[in-house]
Amino acid sequence: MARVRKTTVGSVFMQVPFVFYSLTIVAMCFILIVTPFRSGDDLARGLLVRPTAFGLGNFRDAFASGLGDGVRNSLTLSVLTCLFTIVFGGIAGYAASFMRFRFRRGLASFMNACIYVSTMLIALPLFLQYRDLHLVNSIIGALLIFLGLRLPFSVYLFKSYFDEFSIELIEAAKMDGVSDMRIFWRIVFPLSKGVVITVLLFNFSAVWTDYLIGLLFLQQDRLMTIMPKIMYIFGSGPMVTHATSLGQGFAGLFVATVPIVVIYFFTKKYYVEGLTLGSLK
Amino acid sequence: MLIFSLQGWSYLRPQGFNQLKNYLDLLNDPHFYATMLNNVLIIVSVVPVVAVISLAFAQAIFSRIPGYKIYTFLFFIPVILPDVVVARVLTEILNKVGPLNAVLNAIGLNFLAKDWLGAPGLSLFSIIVSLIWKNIGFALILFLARLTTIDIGIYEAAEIDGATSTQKYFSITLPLLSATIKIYIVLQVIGLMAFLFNYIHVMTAGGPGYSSTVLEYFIYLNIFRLQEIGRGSAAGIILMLVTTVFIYYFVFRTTRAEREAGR
Repeated sequence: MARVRKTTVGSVFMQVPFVFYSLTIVAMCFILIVTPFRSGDDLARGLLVRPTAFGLGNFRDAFASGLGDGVRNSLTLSVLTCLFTIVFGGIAGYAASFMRFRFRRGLASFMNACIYVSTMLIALPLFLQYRDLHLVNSIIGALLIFLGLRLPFSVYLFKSYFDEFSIELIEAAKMDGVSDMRIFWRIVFPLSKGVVITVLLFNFSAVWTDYLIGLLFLQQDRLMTIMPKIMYIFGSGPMVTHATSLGQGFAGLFVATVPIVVIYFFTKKYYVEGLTLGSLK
Repeated sequence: MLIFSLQGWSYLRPQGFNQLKNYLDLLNDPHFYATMLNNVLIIVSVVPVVAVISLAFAQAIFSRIPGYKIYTFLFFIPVILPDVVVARVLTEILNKVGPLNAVLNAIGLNFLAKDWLGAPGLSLFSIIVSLIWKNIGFALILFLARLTTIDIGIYEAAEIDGATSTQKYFSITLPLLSATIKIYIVLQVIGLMAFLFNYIHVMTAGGPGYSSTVLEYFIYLNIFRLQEIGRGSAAGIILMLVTTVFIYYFVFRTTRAEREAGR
């Protein structure tokens, strides 16, 4: 069906909200991308002006203030969380989808509900237990929290994906006496590339961009994750801004944001799949 | 958490049960009501505004408005930017001497240049606008995904019957989108109740005073800043009860769909 495009007053008027919203996004990106490369004196002129002096000084200063520690800690936690959630989430998703046992549906619903429980509610009981177990300020402790927080959603994604599989194939393999573990690793898992990428994407970015858990459970200077570290570099509250810490802070935001935005644009299909999976059944 | 909310506390150690004292404290705390009111204000302003804007955007992009490819590319960006990054950059933009006021002054709207995050009446408004800005793309993705699955034959049939485009939209498109809109509302309300901490903590720290504190931040404030564990836990229980209603609806719906599909 060919669509006729007419340039009328109406269609120009339609563009106004689009252009306005686009401009705000472009302004946001401009500030996010250009600011870290400007020098302190230049920054004093404002954020949304034509920059005059460029340099990498802000990045050097930010890494001198410990941004590197933040990157290393967050990277460690993100990668380990991804690894464990793929293995455990995949196995649990397989069980929820193909195995028959009591309370299967109830358990799956319970896991599903856990996705939406506020992290703040979990924080206090965990904090008190962690204090008694001496797990505050430990990467392992934080990793356990992230696994707990990310597993429900991972299981849910795997289960939704496996539900589309043909059950006959699995039943046939079971009839032949193949064990569930073998079916999972030999048949199901190799066919799940799409869902594995989706889980990786969501979990990596969730841990990488986490703020609350890092803020509460990794308070030591060397152990801070990237987002709390950046806020620490920005220093002072929102009302006071110094040109030097501003440049450094924006260098931190650049390092934290640009990699994941680039990854997202290459994997947009999987991201949209993950977002819409639960809502379009 | 329920047990904590019924105990007296001193220096992060429980000091025995005190029945419902924490809840009564909470009910006598004027800040708690201010906080709840802020939550309600955020939800009743963000949800409908985002829904209407994204529905209009989705329809226009779906009917291939000129430049729709650029728009789908751009509108995806706010969705993937991390909360903390958006909040921090917006803090700078909305600063008293920041770019927003500079732009307003430059185009002669000096009287509109305000201290967006520092003034008691304005900070909540600024946060609401920021949340709308951030969430449009998310709703847009949901609505667009649904629109693309609608069978085009329905529209052709309606055209033969002489339906106008307004009639087509309100009698065909909107009813078909209603399930997605419901899901959007539930997800958004849960997000605005239970996952708002980053914005508040980075942008205003709940201030000035309690003017932009929300329930989730109130819990954080009481537990980790004021050491009022009992009161914070009581507020936590209330947050849990409120969100559970929405979570229950969402999970129940998914489970029912599965049962109908025979899994």
